[in-house]
Amino acid sequence: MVAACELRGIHRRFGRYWALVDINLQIQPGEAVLVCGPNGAGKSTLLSICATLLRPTHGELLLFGKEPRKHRAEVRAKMGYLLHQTLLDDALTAEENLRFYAALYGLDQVDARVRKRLEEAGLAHRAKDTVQTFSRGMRQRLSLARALLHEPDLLLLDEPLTGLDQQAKDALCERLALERQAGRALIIVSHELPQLMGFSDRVVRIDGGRIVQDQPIAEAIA
Amino acid sequence: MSSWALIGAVLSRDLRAEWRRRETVLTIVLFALLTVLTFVFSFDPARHPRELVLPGTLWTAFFFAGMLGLNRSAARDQADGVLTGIAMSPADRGWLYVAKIISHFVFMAVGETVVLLLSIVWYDLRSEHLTGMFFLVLLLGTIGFLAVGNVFVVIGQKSRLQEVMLPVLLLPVLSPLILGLVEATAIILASGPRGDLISWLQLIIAFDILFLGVGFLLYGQTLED
Amino acid sequence: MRKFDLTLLILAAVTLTALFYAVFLVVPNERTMGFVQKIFYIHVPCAWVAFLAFGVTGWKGFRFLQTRDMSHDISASASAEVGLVFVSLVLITGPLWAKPVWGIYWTWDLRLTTTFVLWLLFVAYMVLRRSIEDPERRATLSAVVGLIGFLDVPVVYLANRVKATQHPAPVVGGSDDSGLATGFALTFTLGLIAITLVYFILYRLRRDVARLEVATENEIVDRMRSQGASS
Repeated sequence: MVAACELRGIHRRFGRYWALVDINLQIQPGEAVLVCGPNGAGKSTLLSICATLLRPTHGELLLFGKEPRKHRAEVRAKMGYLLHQTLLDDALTAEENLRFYAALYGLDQVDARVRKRLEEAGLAHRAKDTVQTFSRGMRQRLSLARALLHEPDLLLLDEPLTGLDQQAKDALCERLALERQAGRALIIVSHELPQLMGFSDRVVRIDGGRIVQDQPIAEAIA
Repeated sequence: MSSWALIGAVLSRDLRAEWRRRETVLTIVLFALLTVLTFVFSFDPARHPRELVLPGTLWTAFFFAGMLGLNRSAARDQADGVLTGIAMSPADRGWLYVAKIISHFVFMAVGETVVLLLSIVWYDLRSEHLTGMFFLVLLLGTIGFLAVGNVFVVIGQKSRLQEVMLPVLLLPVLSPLILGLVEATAIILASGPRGDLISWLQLIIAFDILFLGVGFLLYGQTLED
Repeated sequence: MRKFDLTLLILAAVTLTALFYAVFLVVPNERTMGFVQKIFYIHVPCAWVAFLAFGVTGWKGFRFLQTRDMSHDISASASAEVGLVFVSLVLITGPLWAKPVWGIYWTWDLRLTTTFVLWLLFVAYMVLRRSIEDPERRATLSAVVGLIGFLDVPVVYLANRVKATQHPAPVVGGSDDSGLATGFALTFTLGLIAITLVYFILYRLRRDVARLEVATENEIVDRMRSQGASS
């Protein structure tokens, strides 16, 4: 089985500062991996590299067994991202934003998909409202809907629970658990472990740019 | 999804967002207006023949306003990460580029219309000047500007200098286009012999074709992270 | 120093010496322009070399985009730095020659305008490079600018040619009263070879220094990494 995401000997530096050193990691299809660690450990850098937002200084990245630079369109069509930025245009309505991304990803059956994701996100009643009027929690939900619109095989999330109230956090975790069941691979960077551990398969701890722990959840809890 | 559908979607997003915000168009219109006003004070239309002053005034106004418009719109795209979202999608870069040019063309057309209306009042521009050829030159010039401008604006946003980078890169490269446009416009406004006009038109068209082609191929590189 | 560079250096020294000998001791003062015309033997080769340098920058940038090999970017940057020096020399020696001969320092004719725009393009390229920290991004974006700039130069030339020109009838190739007397032509060719060699030497030097800088930096940083230091 081809790994959804594979990092071999990944290093990344910024000037003279090594943010990541010798990262070797494999994420299998359908696997949910939690990446945690102290602030400044390199978690977000790792995610950016997986997302192909950043190039590694050394090492190789393979997504679905392919080199992202050589198969750009193919690889990106299978990836979804939930980052610090919402990637949403706040002058557009929820529906318009999703339609726009549907077009960027060359999707068919746009109406059905958009409706489904809006309902799932609990935003169907606000479909015609501009994102500007949305709360942080709602934007996060819409951003996730955007990320899932094209049914990606790999979902990358950077601190998805930040800035959400408990109810919103619960809802998001529920959604993510469902997506994992649907067979998507998830890479979640967070320091809010307890809630996320509920549906994750593995936890990877990063400290000082290196992986210091990589264990199945069951072992990690024990 | 076909390229037309992609262009249509990007275009509709750009225009719709702009319709609701009106930032880019406002920037272009205001700045073009102010530039023309500055020229009116610098070269009193009563004492300086229109054929000499107006071509340069118009194109300076259009291009400087255009650069501000490009910067404003690109900054907006960066703000919520929409540009990142676009860059990380599998969408074809070339067609994205085409869509950007079309949407910005619309914004600039609004600005250019306002300036022309003002010129009718301030410079006594008459219908005999506003010929088909005049509008053709206007069209070709705006396209040439946007062909290079859309590539450089993204580059500028990714540099430390941000908005300042765009004019530094754009003006030297556009200089032959500016030259051609001002000369061609002057010939048209003078309503005299059309001798050299063909040469200038050929130059302008060649510029457009060359840089549209190059831009189409290289735009993806600027989006690349 | 490597053999190739040493050879270049010797050749350059020889041709330059020969050039100065020819210019100051052999070739007579030109009829109309006098002593000042001698700048011509440096000025014109510097101009051609500046365009060559920009061509190298554009080409190397293109090669970088093709191969993603950073050494092409180093070469592109080196050529741009050296080229900037040459084009600045042209813009300085030009007016020095023009004032006594034409009575004015500058005019916006075909060649001067094209050269000035070239200068602007070099400066824009350098400003951009200094404005981007990340090496790979810097390489990519400056390659795009370099390539566009390079394609722009012939367009600038064409545009200004359509416009009227005030530059004296080209002394080498071109209009009716062109064509140098043998003595002039030989000296001129000598100048061309000498200045081109100087460019190559400077370009290779700058490029090698840059490569060393990058290699040293990488070495330092790699050691920091294996020592386990992360900051």
